[in-house]
Amino acid sequence: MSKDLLVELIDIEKVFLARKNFMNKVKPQKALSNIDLQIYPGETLGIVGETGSGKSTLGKIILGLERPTSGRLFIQGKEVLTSRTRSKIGSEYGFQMVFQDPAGSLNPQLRIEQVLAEALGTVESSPGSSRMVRLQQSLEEVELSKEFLNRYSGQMSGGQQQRVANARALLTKPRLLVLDEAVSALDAVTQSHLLRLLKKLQKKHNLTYIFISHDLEAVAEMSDRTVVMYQGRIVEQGESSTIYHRPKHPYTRGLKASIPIRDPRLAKTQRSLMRRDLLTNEEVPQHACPFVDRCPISDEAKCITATPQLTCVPEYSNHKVACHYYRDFDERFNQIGKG
Amino acid sequence: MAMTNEKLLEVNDLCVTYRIGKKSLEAVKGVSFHLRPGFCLGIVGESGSGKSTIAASVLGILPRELAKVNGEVLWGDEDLLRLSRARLNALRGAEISMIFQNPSQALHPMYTIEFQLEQVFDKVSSSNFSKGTLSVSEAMSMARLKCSKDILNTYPHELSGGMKQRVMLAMALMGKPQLIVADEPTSALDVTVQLEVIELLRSIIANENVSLLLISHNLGVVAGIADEIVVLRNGGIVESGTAEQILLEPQHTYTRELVGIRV
Repeated sequence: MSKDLLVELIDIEKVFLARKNFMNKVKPQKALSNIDLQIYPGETLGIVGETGSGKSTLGKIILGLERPTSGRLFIQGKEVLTSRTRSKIGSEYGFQMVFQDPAGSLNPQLRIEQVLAEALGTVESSPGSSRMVRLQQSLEEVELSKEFLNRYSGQMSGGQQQRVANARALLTKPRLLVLDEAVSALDAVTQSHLLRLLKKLQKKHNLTYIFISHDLEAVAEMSDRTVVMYQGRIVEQGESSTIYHRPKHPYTRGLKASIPIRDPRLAKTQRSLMRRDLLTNEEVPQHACPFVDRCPISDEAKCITATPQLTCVPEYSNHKVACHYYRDFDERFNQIGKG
Repeated sequence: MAMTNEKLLEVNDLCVTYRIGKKSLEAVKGVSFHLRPGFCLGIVGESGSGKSTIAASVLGILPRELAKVNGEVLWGDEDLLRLSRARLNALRGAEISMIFQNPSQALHPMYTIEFQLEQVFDKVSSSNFSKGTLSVSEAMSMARLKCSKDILNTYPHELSGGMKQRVMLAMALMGKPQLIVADEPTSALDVTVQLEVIELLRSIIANENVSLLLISHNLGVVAGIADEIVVLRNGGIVESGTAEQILLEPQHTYTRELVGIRV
């Protein structure tokens, strides 16, 4: 395995066992399949997809919080999937995670001082006075005054809570932060403040970020590379600006076309790219392209029978897409529109 | 759409005060607006601005013990704030219906979709002989759902968020209402599904002559449907006008701030 990689995932698969209802037999649900992914130190990797695409599961596997069903995980060239090493990924390699719901990730019964001291206690034991200084500094870093140390999380706004969650993660001096919808619960103004702050902290501490979000715009803005996931598979990956400005996969195109427009004259004619027959709840066949039922350019011949594999797009470096027909998108889309 | 000055719903000087323990909180402070038939009025504002309180008072679903409501909400020649419970019950679903933000909470987790749709059908058809109602399958196809066993026989948790919201929409449409109140109908959905629901609402307003009172904090969603917009802040109206006026030439500094933010 290459040495300059921070994390490498090879053919990761995760299957959850779920019951349809409590009388039925256990039914395997594939949350992730065929995930190959490389993460370089110092970069921001964006993962975008809708609910149920497996993006959070992927983040948790990288942190060792979730055990993949099969596949291999390397951190700095070392395989870490044995059960003994997996649980230590967080402390040994300095990987941390910030979750979506700030209120839910802070203990409401503890003062912020206690919340932060707990995190500090896991990595070092320092005498009382210098500990206090460390805690105050950590709040300063996320642009909160030291008075907040005496508050409870319920006495703070969502944006302030999320800053505390970030401060807590940073106290352990991490190298990699998984930001799982870290700003999605906040309103637009607070979001942009926090994103700016996160970028500043990244520079200062030379952090690697995995930025997970359902918002293609925010992901493209935050990250160097973007991975687009759909139903547990990577359907497209490449440089963020290429993904955002020149998406290839029909799903990525659909995501981009769905970003709300503010101008009422344009917004009134905004149309979804997804297919418009009556919706059903039938399952997609196992060997079909996972996007086949919503794809505007899918056909019965190829898309139903074969799952497309990620292949390189020759025009751009490091750009991969999993679609049989991405080259002929415009042609096929116009044809179907007429027919 | 004919340009008329006819008013379907008229809200005059609406004030809502919540009683919280011994304290009281003025959530809505003298709000007036009206909605014309066949149009969509968007109410935008941040959380805590009183948007949902307005929606709830239009439908008379604010608990009377907790909220003191003043002013008038005129529906034809009736004042919705002073109707009897029986009349309000007959009106809901048949003349005015509602779609809520979180479809997983609005649907009963222990009953099948078919049972819940039929329950609504029974309710609206008993209070709606003259106007007629849509059948379950008609309502479903209007909400762009296939009327098949794989949807009807499922429980809410087996459907995606977008499908559940379509089921809610089918329920809302069943009584052929003149007004649908939609409180953040898309904020629990993915952007791709959000756009599909917006398109759906747009086509229903255009084809079925239904009016929509759309409540949202997302200006992009409101821009896609609303003809007119009311901007709310701290329970009062800051600015109101056509969608073009509010979104392209906002006058008030607060509206400008709202519009200036990235979606």
